[in-house]
Amino acid sequence: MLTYIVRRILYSIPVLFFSTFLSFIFVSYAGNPLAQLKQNPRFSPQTIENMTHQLHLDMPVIQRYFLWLQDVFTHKLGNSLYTGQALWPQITRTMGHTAQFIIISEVLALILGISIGIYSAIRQYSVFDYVFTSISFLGFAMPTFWLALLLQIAFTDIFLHYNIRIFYTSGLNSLPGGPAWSWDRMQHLALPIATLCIISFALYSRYMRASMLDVINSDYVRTARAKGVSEWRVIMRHVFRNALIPITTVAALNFGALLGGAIVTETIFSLDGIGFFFIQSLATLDLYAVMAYLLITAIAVVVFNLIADIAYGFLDPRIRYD
Amino acid sequence: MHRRVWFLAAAVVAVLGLTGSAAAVTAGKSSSTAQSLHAAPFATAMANIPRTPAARAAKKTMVFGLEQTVTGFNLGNADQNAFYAAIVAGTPVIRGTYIINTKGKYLLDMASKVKATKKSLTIKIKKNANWNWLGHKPKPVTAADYIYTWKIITDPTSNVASAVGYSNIARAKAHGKKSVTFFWKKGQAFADYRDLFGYVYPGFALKGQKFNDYWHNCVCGNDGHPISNGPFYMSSYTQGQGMVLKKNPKWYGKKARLNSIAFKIITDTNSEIQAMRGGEVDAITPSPESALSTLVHQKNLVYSAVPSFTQEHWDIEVGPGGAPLLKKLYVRAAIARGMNRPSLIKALYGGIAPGLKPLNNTFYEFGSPAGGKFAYFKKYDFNPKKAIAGLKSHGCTGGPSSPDKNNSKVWTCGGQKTEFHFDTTTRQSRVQSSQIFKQQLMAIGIKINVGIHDPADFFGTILPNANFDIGEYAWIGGPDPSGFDAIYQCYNAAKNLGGSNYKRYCNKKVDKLIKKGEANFNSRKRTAQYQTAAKITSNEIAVIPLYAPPQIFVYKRALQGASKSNNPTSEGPTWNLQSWHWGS
Amino acid sequence: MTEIKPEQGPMAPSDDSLFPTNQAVEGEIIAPEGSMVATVDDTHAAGLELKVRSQWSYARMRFFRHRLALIGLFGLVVIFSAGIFAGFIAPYTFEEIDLNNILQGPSHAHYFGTDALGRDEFTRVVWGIRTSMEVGVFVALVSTFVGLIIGAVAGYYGGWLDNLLMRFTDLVLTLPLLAVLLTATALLGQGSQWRVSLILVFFFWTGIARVVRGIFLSLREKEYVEAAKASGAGDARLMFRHILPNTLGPIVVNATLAVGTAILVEAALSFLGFGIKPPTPSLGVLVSEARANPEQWWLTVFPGLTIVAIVLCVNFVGDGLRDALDPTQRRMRA
Repeated sequence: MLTYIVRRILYSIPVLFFSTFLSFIFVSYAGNPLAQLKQNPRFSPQTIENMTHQLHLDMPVIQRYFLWLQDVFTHKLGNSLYTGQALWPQITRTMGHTAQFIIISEVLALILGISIGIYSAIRQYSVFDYVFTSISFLGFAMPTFWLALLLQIAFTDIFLHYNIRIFYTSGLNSLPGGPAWSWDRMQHLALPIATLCIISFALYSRYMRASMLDVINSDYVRTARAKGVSEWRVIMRHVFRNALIPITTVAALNFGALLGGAIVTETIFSLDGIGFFFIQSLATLDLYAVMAYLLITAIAVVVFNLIADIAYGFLDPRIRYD
Repeated sequence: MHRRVWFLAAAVVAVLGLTGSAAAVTAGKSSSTAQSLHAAPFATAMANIPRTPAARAAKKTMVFGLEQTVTGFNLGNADQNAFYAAIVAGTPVIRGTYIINTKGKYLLDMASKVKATKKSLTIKIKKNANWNWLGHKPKPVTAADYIYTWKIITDPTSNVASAVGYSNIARAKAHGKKSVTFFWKKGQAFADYRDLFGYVYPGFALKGQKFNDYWHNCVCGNDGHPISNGPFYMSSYTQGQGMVLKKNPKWYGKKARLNSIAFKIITDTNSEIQAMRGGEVDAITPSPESALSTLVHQKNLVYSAVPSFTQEHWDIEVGPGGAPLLKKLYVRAAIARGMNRPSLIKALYGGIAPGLKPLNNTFYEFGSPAGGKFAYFKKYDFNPKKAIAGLKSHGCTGGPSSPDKNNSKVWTCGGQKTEFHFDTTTRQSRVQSSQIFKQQLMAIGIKINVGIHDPADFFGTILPNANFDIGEYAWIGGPDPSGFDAIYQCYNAAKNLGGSNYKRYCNKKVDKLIKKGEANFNSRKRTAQYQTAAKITSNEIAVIPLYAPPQIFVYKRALQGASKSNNPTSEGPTWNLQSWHWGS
Repeated sequence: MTEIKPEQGPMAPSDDSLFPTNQAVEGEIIAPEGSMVATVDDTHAAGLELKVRSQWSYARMRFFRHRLALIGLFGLVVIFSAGIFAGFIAPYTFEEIDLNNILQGPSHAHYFGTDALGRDEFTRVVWGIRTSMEVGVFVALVSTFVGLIIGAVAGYYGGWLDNLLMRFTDLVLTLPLLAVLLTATALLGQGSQWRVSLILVFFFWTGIARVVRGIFLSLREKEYVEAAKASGAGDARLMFRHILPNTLGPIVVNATLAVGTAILVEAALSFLGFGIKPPTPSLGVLVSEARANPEQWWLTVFPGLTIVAIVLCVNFVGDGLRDALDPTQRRMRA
């Protein structure tokens, strides 16, 4: 197992290297970040020359890539090209906010999804099953941004007509800089969490149901039943735990993907998260900020993929990694 | 088997717990960076600001909504030269020689007297103008500060937004502490002197700092303590979330009536609107979006929309990179006459800026110098019949005989079709106006093919390479017409002239007038010269001026002293922040 | 080294359909009693009907018993024909601006209301369906094709080629879709739907490639392949004639579900401003334009509902296909 992990990590390094290299080239060619300065009819050509030099825009792309790589290790991802500020504090701050609401929504989605998946599988073809499978289908078909917009509009309407503020529709706190774990923060995060939760829930409940059905129909469960074990024990001891295995993989992969920032959700609800940070950096073509984001999310995806595979191998004794 | 599941579950809980607490810690962390400059954590400051409007009034504080995240407060720095940074760190905190009022008039602010001639510029500083640097004794504003400002802006390593005017100064001389004279370089007297030194730096407090590095997270001296020569100082700032200004008791003007003002960053216009309606913020200055119409008739709010000093216009390329037909004046005239500007303005801004009118002067945007007999572009007002007649009389064929909404025929003039490329950026209002104008022009037989581009591409490649037919975008101007010189001067890269003249318009007469006006200190003669230039450029349709996008300011009716605040110049609505107070 | 990874890409595992279909019947051979093996000639000679059904006809039977899939198919037909015949059924053109009628609610003249420039929303939605449809189908077809080739080559040849291709797949998976789109926009001009489609293809083929590779890997060791090889079949023949047909089930399912996913991704991109740029009406662009007018609910609801309807129908059909085409399916009650 250990050799497998080490081998996977070693394989990831050149992949990360190439991926960041390609991304760097892509964003470098996306446009000149100094272009916006020219909107002032009296712009100073001296400044443009200075900044071209400071941002290394006069050097070939490959050299700039290695300068960036150097900055990553020596200067903790370097400084933003747009504001000149250190990037690492911004990344940790925004990542903290994103992690907060993603973790809550994933935990909720898992709890809900797993329980409903189990019940759906036990009571297959019942009304309960039909209703929740339809909801899952709907969850898959719903575009994230549309769901978020609908929630935002609905709760805005409620507030404007009845003057009761149930949930807030934007921002992290009522007053900037507010505490992270407060009732106010939860009121602000409720709608983004609901958005992500509904879609993840659809995924988990379907997976749980399917894998439960797989296990329920297997021989050893039939044996247990034939032996006279009570249905409850059969489900809890044999079915549930084995059915849980594929879910860990899916959950880990999903979480890894979401850590890239639920970009759309953050944009609609104006949350100071890493997805929002990425969109703003792209808009200003802040190369270092964009690369910082890409590196962090690529690492997150690789790490969680690895976790998914390891967890799968760990839990399922039939799988052996050499 | 189950043991492994429990083990894994425990591992997951541990990881979640770690990440969760990390989230809590980092989310509450202040933005203090490794740099020596930082302000106190915003969280503690904001904790003292009450959540309800009534409580805020009792505590003499208010909350102002900002629509964009701020990247820094050094307004001279190219990176940070943004409208929203100016609202916070401009006139409320750092002031200069003049202040511009809502009518575009320059009023003496920190200076008691200014004398400008062809040879020199002399500024006499008010006796009681001082710097309040927290933790230090107050220091007067001196000539040394002015000289420091000039030097740092003309320093080639400083990334200034613009050094125009400052680079015309050859040398400086201080007369005691409160008077300074700047001598112009030979033949480079700068008549727009009132736009200089609108922002003065406290050199003594910034020793050891580099221009490009300071004031990213605060307005402070080199020890991190706030500094100000205005009615407020910046007491705290959290990146991405907001900042707090506190009353400066040592200011030389009429003391501020509010004790503190919090600025909260709300980037989404819809959320801003809600925050305003719901009482979360007390004032906002949003960018014009049609959703704002819901705020216009709210009983407890005052809604103000004035035309800004921005010129939204069409550039028509008459250089080699554009379509050959566009070089002909009659074609440009037909285009101008086919555009119904008032109808467009009504569609785009009718709900949020009811009285907005088209721009009709190519150098002046505001007030009396832009209207009346100076509205030179009015001769090209919407007149589709005349447009068609004009094309016909120059031998064009194949187009509609009268303006027709469903027309699909395109004119052919001199063997070429009147079909042109039109490029603009992704901004919603421009996408919409491109559609509206496309339909209007098709009705008179001129076809335009719309191309939408990212701003970086548009301003970085398409415009500077002069590789377009027609482009729509905006220039940020000001009360002084010389701000637009670089747009109309004949393009000469070597002499750094006409750098913003992407349309390659060139008229030697206009060049001469601009050059004279730039150095003419007789304001009456200067205005006459610029108006003549405006007349010529209008007649020749150098640009098609469209409108000045409205600047909108909405505030609670109970907030007094803000009725004359909506200032369309670069000062912004907080130009008289010190007179705001809660009334009944 | 075998790595067992869950299937990437459009999710939803098997055994999942809502409605039980009848036990798959392998074949109906009506033969006279007593005979062990009845050949076609025997039965014809005996004047009896021989009904041998092929794999495909059973698949078809299973599909049509799947009620939701039928609903989905019907829905798709309706919606897609609306898209194809957009020019005929739309009462206005999608560019027609009517500044006197802006932001009107749904009415007789305008079924879905009008937008901020007075354009008919119903027309724009219908044209938006067409754009989304073109993107979805193009991306699904081309990415499936590309993924098939890559997966087949990787799975069949194995070894270093497989390793290289799989690492390339990993690389594509870590590349950011938004950054690539942004660059393409900057380099090549505006966001036309075809360019967006091509870039989406570049990111979509990985799912099917993995699945195909898995099948090829497992099947190339099978006896019948070895036998074919022994009788002199070349690589291409082996791949296409013997192994490939086994992949068709997952491919068809994957391609169908990819249509839905592609439409969702394109809508999200257009919404963010990175996809198809206005004024081309794509459903994502319509929702994005609606954001400036939150009080006019019809601008947000109708395009969004359309997206949901399309993706829902596609998912139903895909689910039905998965049930129908999976030869290992057993539908038995516990």
